[in-house]
Amino acid sequence: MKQDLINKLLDNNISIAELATLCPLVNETDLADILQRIYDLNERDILSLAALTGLMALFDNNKNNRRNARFTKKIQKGFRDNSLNKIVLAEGDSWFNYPVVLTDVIDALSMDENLAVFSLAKGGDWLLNMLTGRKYVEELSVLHPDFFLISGGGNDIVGARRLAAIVKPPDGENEYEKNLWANALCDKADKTFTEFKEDDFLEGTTYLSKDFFALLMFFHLQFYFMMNGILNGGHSGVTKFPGITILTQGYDYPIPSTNKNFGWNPFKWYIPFVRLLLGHGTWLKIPLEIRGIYKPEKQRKVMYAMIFLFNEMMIQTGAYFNKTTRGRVFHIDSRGSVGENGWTDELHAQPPHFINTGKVFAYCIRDAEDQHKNASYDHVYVVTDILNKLK
Amino acid sequence: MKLVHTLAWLFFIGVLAFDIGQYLDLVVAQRIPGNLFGLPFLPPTEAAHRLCIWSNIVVRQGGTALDQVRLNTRWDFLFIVGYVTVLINLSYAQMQNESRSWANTLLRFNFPLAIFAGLCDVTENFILLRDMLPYIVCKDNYISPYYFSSLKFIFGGAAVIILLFSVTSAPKSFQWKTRIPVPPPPSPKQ
Repeated sequence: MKQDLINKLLDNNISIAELATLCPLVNETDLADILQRIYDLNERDILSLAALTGLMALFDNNKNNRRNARFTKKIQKGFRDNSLNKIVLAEGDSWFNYPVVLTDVIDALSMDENLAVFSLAKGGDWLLNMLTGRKYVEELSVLHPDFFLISGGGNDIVGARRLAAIVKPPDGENEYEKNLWANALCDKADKTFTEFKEDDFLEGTTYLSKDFFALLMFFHLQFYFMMNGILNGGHSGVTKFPGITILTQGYDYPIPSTNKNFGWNPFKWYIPFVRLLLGHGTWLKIPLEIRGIYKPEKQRKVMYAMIFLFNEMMIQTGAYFNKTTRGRVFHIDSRGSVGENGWTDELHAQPPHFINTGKVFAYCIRDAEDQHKNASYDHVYVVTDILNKLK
Repeated sequence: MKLVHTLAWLFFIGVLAFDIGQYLDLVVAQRIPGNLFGLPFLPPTEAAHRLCIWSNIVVRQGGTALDQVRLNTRWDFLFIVGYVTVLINLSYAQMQNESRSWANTLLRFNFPLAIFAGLCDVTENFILLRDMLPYIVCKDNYISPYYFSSLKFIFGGAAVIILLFSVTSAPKSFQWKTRIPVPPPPSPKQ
């Protein structure tokens, strides 16, 4: 039965109820199997594709070493004696660890004296690596944090030009319409706090292939697997970390571009520097062009649809765990917070925007004292909404 | 990585100590006339004259004072690499503590400031090495590195000031604002 459901998932014709049935059934072997079939590669090749090597890995480690040295210093000063102080474990990608020049979300969060943040995040890391490496499991057992922060999935979509494999020129087949689960994500989405451009979304979805939806559902399974392991102890049903809260994030709508953005503002010198040296254009713009999607407006809409669904998937995954006990998983929704002119490159916000997202993470953590009564809605903190309230 | 950091600091301190040692030896112990560091800021005729004087003074190490100054100028390239790296490194580390958005941006601006200071210093050294060539010294063919030296101090000085400002003025204990301000109650109707 499980195999049938997996086949249906990969064929993009699984029902909502069937996906819900599949979630608790999958194990690591199943995840590896699904992955190999989505990527058309064997597991070893996928892992080597996703592996972090060279200078980037060195810089990632350097930044984490600095952060974790600060974490240890705080702990040594009796940090855990004060119940208002919180321990945070962060696992994620470049939104959590941009190892050169920029100030990222975790940098901002770590500035707060009441938070001790231990970081495993690595720029360029794939969710797949995080799950197979299981470093977070090891650190959860050692640190017993109050909060676990996860930012992942972005590189699984755009790394190694994978984006080209999950989009298609419109061919009359609308995979979005076939996927009832994705339709439900959109229907259930709260559209009060983030502006929803329905026409852009619907046009964007016509470019998404069957593999995109398989990948989106695969992310759902992966996050479910991870969260279930932390909150419920996986198949054992007994958690080692009672009281832990998970915070997720889902990026903002990026703008595909190869423009180097040379300008006269000396304080934004780093934008052309980053764009020239660190892969700008190769993540979104060029893969979309490889599939014949040339018009910038269409490219923007494709990314709009993807990020909209990705965020809703994260919210939905968290909602599974909040059904039984409220306040276990929260989502920090950055959609619309960076805007069109706030990007350093195709994927990364300029530091003030990263800092803003960091502030909202801090806000959400502190709001635990008020039983998260100040969330934008349900279990979601919308960055633009919270920043407006804090003004 | 910690080992690399420690080695980088040791390297920087070593080069700095060597430079100071050379200065003390030539100017204090051997009483070479004139200020080695002030050379680029002298009027060209005076600077050329000073180089000419140094080329005629024999020093303890062998050769002339000018040979020693030339050697020190070459060592200075290492010092440039050292101080640019240190400035960038310290600014980057301070960025992790700097919660004020504008000050955080200024610290990021320190990267190009330090690099420009280093580039100006390199250019200054090349000009000085050219001025110290045996067939140019005492031949009234001196080129002043004045503008590059001035820019070096402006860029480098600005970077140091920004760094010191951030370190000394950053709040000692910081929390992100997490309380939504309560709106004032509506005033009673008249």
